[in-house]
Amino acid sequence: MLNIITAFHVEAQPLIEYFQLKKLVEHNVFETYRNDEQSISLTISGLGKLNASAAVIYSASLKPISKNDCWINIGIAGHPSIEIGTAILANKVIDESSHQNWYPQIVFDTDIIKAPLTTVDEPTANYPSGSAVDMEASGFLSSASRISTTELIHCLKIISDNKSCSFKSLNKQKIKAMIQDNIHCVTDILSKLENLTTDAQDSKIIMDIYQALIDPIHFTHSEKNKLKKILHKWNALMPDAMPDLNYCIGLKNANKILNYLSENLNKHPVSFQ
Amino acid sequence: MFNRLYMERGIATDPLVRQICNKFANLDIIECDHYSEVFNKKAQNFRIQKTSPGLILAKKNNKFINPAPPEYGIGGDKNFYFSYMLNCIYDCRYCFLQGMYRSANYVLFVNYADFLNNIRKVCENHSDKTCHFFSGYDCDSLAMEPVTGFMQYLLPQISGISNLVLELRTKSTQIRSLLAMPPIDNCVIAFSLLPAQLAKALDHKAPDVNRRLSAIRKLQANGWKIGLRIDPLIFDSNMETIYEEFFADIASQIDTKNVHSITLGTFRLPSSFYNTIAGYYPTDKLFLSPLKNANKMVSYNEDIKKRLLAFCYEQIRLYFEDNVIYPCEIIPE
Repeated sequence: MLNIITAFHVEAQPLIEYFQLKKLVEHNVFETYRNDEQSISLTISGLGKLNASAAVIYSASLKPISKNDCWINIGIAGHPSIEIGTAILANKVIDESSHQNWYPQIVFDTDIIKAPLTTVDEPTANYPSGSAVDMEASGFLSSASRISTTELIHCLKIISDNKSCSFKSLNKQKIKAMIQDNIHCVTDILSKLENLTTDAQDSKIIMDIYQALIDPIHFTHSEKNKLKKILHKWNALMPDAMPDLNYCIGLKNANKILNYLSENLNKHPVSFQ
Repeated sequence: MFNRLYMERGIATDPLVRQICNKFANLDIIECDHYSEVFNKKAQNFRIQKTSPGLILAKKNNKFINPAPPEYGIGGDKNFYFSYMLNCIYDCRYCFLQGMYRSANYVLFVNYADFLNNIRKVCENHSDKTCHFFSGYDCDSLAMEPVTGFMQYLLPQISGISNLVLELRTKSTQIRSLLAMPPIDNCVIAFSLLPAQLAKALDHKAPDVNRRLSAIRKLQANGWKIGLRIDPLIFDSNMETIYEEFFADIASQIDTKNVHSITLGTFRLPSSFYNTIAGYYPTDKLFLSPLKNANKMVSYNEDIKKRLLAFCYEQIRLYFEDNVIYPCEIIPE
């Protein structure tokens, strides 16, 4: 699942519209939206790194955690020199007050500009040299990196102010338009991250056999995991001769089935040719 | 080669760092205080990172030279290893680095002179012993040579150390810099080799075996000492035929009388590394082989190990003198 965290509703709105997200009315600690396919979630954190950190944990708590979940913090940021309306992807995030650093691993090719990003506690017009500046990224990363891996956690910021154009001149319409104009950056990252997390899916034949065994016979949670692993191995070694389902069910016992499958698997010669 | 470059702030003016940064001028340089900030972070996935690793330029401050594991050895009195680089551009399925490190980024320690000084010091401290140094434990010794130039720096400097032997372990065919210099008498270029069918399945991104054998031929013709590292030996249900053809092929392609040393050992991994790697590739045939876990090491079942070792040892003896063969495990009677 792609999990988006924005600070404000105005930053979220173009994303909600583009991805056709619907509000989860029963979860309202932080306003959260999902698409019908349950593949994209968006949570609005409010201003600041503490809120961002809490919003990540809240969003993660609403569903089973997967190591393949992607997390993106999207919002506006200042930068001393980058042109307003330009999207940047953070390749380093510095927490100004704690001096802690994060290094999001951008392992995909993208045309989006990469830049360091400094998270500050108060709005500022003093832009750190060569770095974008925001108020959420470090809090977002401190929580998200407990849940997923650094290759799948990113901060996408749209430059909203710089030395020649103060953040004081921003308004909701401008912010909304900046996000809207950069939706293609979000979809670009999304597709790249999807490619990274495409694990071998459980094939239909494996899942059919798995289901046919666990429906009539009691398997504990760990036995179910073991069964799935064995079936995957079986499929890798003997894709043309899957286990005899009737014989397995006839054994009437999870342990006996697992032993039978393991023994047969171990007998099969391994050949790399 | 890389899409991102990290650099420790303290080495920004180092000439080698400048040279590498200039070479990759199109990349953003990301500064860090210490390489471990990037490399050792917990929340990293080696597999995902391996799709596109970055390069981290760093300075090593201690532990330049380490004692080699006991089974490492090609006849020296004292065995050491050193790692001027961490991680490898190849992606061999059996490689322990995948289990040892969280990050697939490459770390290059740029203070080459400190490595050299420490090598010299160790040799002086053991002046009555032959000291063997192994490079290529945590990286491939030659694969990144066009970027690092480490061996170009080191080799001319160690040639005069009489009690030193240096082994460069590699699968690379980046031998241009070696061919451009006179052979160093106390240096062994040791090539890791697998039968072609197995290499195709397991040695991802590495040059195929014929190219490695071709590199060996060129180095032999230029007077370099060559080692063959038949490690790991991989079990296949057709292993006798595969390995018989493999050793015959090697013997037909290189000068067998002019080989410094041959080591052989079966596939084995510390169990913690094995668990991590097998988790990345649960259905890879390597991990579906008949393996056992004993004494915190995962290796082939005893009968397979014996069969594989004994067979390959006898095959090697058909073509090479006994005194150049150094098994990493006890050869069964």
